[in-house]
Amino acid sequence: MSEKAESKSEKAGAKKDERPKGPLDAFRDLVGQWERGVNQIANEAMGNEQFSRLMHGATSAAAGAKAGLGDAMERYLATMNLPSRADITSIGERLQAIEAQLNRLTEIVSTMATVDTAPASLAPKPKRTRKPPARNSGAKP
Amino acid sequence: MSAAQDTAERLRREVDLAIQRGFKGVNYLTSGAPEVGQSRKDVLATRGTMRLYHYHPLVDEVYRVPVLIVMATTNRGYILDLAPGNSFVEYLLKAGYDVFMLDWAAPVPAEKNLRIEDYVLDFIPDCLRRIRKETGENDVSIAGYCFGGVLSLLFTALAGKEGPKNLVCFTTPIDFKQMKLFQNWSSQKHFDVDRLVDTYGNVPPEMIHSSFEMLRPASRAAAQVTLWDNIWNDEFVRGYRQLDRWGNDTLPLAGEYFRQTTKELMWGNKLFTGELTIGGKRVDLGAIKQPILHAVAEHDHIVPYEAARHLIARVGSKDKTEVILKGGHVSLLAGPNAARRMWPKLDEWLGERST
Repeated sequence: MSEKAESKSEKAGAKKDERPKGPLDAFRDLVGQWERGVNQIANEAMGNEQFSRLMHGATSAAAGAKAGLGDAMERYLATMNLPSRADITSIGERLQAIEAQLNRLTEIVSTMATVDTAPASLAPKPKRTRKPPARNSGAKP
Repeated sequence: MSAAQDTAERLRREVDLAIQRGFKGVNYLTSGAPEVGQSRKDVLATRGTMRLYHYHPLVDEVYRVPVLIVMATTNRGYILDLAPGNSFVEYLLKAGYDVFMLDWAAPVPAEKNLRIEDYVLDFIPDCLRRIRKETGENDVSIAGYCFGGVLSLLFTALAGKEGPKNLVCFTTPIDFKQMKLFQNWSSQKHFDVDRLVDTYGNVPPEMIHSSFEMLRPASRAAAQVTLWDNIWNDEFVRGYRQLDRWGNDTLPLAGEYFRQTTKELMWGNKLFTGELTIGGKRVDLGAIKQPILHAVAEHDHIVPYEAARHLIARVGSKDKTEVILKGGHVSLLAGPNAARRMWPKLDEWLGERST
């Protein structure tokens, strides 16, 4: 789960210029009020059962249309002796699976062989002896 | 300064800003996507949707116990590594942690059958095995964000001695009945999750994206106005674009995983009632004995406090802490406010448990 708009306005807003009040400040306040007001009203509207029913009616219709269109298109492509999107995707997945197998084999071979071409992670590692700093100083890392 | 002079000065400033907006607006429209996720890292493993990163340490001496960040399955992990100087990962590295991240790529159609079991009993344990091998340390801390927190919680409850040394959860819901709007939208009465999953396979990212946008439908438009207002401010625009890129980079969800989440958690609320079973084992939060920190945001509109508040009471740990900080679902962990509030708080808690 995540969020978008909250983060954009809130987080980016934290860096906004703290300039003195200007002629557009009333407009800015208005935008803020509008945002809060619309969000609140919309949340109330979207919280009722009717909205849920309408929303899922639309989702269901879209899913039904997609399924119907997909079937028809697949039959058409089969008639034309052409691969469907599903066929192409399936070939892509097969290639990915082969690639993954190759990666696994490469990994095994790398582990078995003592090679000098060590990745960066095998470069000298830092000591694992760090202790937490005294906390009363409030120092940042 | 007289009132007339003051007004003239303000007007002059607004005209100046309007001119700058014109120039910078052209820059904004013509420049490329901002770079994100710039901390140096090795990709330790890629397996289907799973990605395990190991970030390069930035100090000569690190804490003994490495930390694995488990990202939410709906979004990319670079929200925690937006840019140098504005990165949770970079903060942890500088503070002396050996940092790993379990991030997710978009599941391909063949992965539509992935279930919660695959995430909890396969991906997370696999990452821990690799981290233990990489570091030579048996102890590992886990820090899960949002649904990554739920997965981490489930894993820890089921893992017994194989579990993490410490567990950190950020904005992690356990009482799904309290996520009111999501509850209404996924109402069992109207939402035919079987039809959706059977039709699409994986749940399309646009659907996930829209459901988050709908929580605050006016905020995108308001954010655009705020962007226009501040477009002369390079720092603001940089932050906006990084977040905008991330916000639009929603991942699809594996179909079975979504079906299971909807039925077991949204409809059945089984994690809260103690009836959830994963891989044939009942999930008992009381079985979690590790030190645990749960951080929640005061103004989180995705995971409201009511949905998260029982976590700490339910776990069996003696060493358990809940912190409630100002901010929203994302700003709790990313951005300038997080850098001031959450990151130092986490460092303080985790540092003394990582030796």
